[in-house]
Amino acid sequence: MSFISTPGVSPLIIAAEAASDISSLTVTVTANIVYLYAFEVQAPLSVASVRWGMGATATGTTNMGIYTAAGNLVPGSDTTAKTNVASSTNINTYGTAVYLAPGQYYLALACSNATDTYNGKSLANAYSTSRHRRAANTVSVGALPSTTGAISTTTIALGVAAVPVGGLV
Amino acid sequence: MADPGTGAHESGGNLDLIKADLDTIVPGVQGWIAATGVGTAAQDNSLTFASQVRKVVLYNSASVPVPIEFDQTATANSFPIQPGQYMVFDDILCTVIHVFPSATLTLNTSGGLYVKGWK
Repeated sequence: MSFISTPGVSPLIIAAEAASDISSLTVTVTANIVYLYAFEVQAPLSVASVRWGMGATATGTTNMGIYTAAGNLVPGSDTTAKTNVASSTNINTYGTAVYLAPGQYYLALACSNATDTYNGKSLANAYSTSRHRRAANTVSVGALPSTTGAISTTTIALGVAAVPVGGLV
Repeated sequence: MADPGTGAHESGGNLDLIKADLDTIVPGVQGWIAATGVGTAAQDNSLTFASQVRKVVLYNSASVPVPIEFDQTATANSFPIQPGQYMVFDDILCTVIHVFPSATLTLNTSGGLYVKGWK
């Protein structure tokens, strides 16, 4: 008997849309804390770029990256510290697209200061009802930690995104 | 009806040929057979089994589709195996899997094409 599995279709974008599709709302974060957005990959894909939105204040830097659900940084996914550009979508295009096997992951963002304003929103409580979390381990010398450490809830919901090869412009 | 052995004997002593046919027909030979080869981008590549197989298992862990053919040259328009797709082809006879990857393709490792065959 022959057998064929039907894989999931690769997404055009992996995005924290509930935090992105908001009007005139920005949020500040705690410096060097790694904020996480949980997502799943149904079929193997390669991430071409990661993106974040900045408000009017942008004097610091941002690291973005991808962690496995077990809390390990996916090799090659740390963007290193990128200078924020105010009032725009900031995009880091990887020199080599980051391969992700089917599985569960976190999209990660950390800022170097507590004053830059990000596309996102602050919640009334650290609800555990969304995909937003934060890591215990922090950014050091401009690099994301190799592991997240303990993962906990957060009041910060950031409008972050990852775009696979062939995804949305 | 003639005795089975008698027929084979009378056919001119072709017992070796009959045995070879039975080896191909009888299913369930233990142990999988590896395919070897490389996956150079944008060209036909041969992934060759050590011996002919009758069952093939393929899993595409690459992030792009992989066009394939059985025992004939592959092109970019050949039958594609989608990323994450797992396929079992049973009751076939195949010696060479041909692939035409759009990017360099590794074999039997994460991010590549997994190929196994059984007699």
